[in-house]
Amino acid sequence: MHVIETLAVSEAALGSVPAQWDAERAITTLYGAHYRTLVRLAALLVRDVATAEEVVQESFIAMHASWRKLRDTDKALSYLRQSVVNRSRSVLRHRVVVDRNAPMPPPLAPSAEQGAIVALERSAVVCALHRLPARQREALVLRYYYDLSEAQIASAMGISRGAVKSHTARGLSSLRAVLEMEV
Amino acid sequence: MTEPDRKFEEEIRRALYAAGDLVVPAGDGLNKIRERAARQPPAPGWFAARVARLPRQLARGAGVAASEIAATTRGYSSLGPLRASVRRWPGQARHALRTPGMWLRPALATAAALLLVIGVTLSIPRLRATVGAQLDSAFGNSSGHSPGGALGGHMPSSGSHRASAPVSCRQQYETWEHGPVQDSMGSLRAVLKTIPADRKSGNAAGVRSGMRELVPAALGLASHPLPPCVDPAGLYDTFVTRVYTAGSGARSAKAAGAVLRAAASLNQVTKLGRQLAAEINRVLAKN
Repeated sequence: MHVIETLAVSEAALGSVPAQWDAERAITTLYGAHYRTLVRLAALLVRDVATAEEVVQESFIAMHASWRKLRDTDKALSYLRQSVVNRSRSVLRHRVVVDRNAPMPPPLAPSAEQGAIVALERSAVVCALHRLPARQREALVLRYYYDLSEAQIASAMGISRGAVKSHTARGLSSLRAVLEMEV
Repeated sequence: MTEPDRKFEEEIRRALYAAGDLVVPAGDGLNKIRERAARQPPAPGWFAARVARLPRQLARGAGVAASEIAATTRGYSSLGPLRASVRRWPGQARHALRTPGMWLRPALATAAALLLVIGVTLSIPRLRATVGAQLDSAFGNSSGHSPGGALGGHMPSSGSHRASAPVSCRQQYETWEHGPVQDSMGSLRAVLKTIPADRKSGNAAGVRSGMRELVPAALGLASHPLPPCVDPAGLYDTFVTRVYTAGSGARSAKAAGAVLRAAASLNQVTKLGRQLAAEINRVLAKN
């Protein structure tokens, strides 16, 4: 393999895909490199592994469908991240409506997936995180779990850099307050 | 940022990583994506929307056309001035040809300026080489995609005797050295100079930002390969790959320790760079 092709494959692992690649190849490469991390990001946002997988798969399908229309293939990962954050937000919004109108009793026998959710909930920080407003939670997860820069967070959340700064600062202070209250 | 703030941030980071590590996605995700992508309707939503709007747009277009025809028959068409100006074009063109004073001077001035630019370009060797290289890549003799091709990789041109004059290895190297690779090489040199100093002083942020510069520099170098005659062993490719690997390692590193470890691999890059320089000097001394 020539050096340029080697670099193209490595670049794909970092989220930018050569423009001449077809949707199938790009999706396969991006899946291999980023699926697990994106599912974890979504799971931290929606607190449900199955829904997180669903959200990420839908994002991949949306990218597959609009691959030809994607203006900048260098930003494939950024597009995926943004899609995951938006869909997670929609899921949470929908969940609020469903919970309000038809409260469902929790399942009696815990499944394996339920076990993962329980383990997620065991962390005091994650528990406290879910008491924050959605935007602050997204900003904190993208900043501290995904290690994104302010500009990348702004792009993923669809807000300005200033708003990212304020959400992060407010989120941190709220999180500190919640954790101190629990202690 | 104060020390307690930093500690609190580290605590959040650790908790999120620990919580994230508990999530293990099922292994059949890609199959599910493929299946669901295949089930997607072939016509995208925007196309369906366009089709739905088409009858209304056609009706509106027909209405406009009908009102225009009606206005034309009554002599009030809004296209009247346009048609009149189109009818005047041949007359205006004939008038312009009959009076050379209108166009001769600007044409002569343009030609003189063009000749001056070409003359200046050809009189400066470096500029001539750059233009030659650009022409080469524009006419499909691109070095980025066919290094070592039928013509033996780079064939820097020199004006009009591009096809006839054979280009020596040294000339090829000089063209490459003074070409667009200069920018990437300059930024790489600067990074290789600053990172060791930052590493020594324990400035992890400085090292991280320096290491991030390596990936674009490597991509820049990769798109301008060294002429194969200068580097028969292909050391340049290895060098570029190492630079890239070091940069991408630092880009994906989350902890400061990992960034510093990635920076440590730059020693090998520097060593390889020296080897490459020695190899180039050896080859050029023979030519």
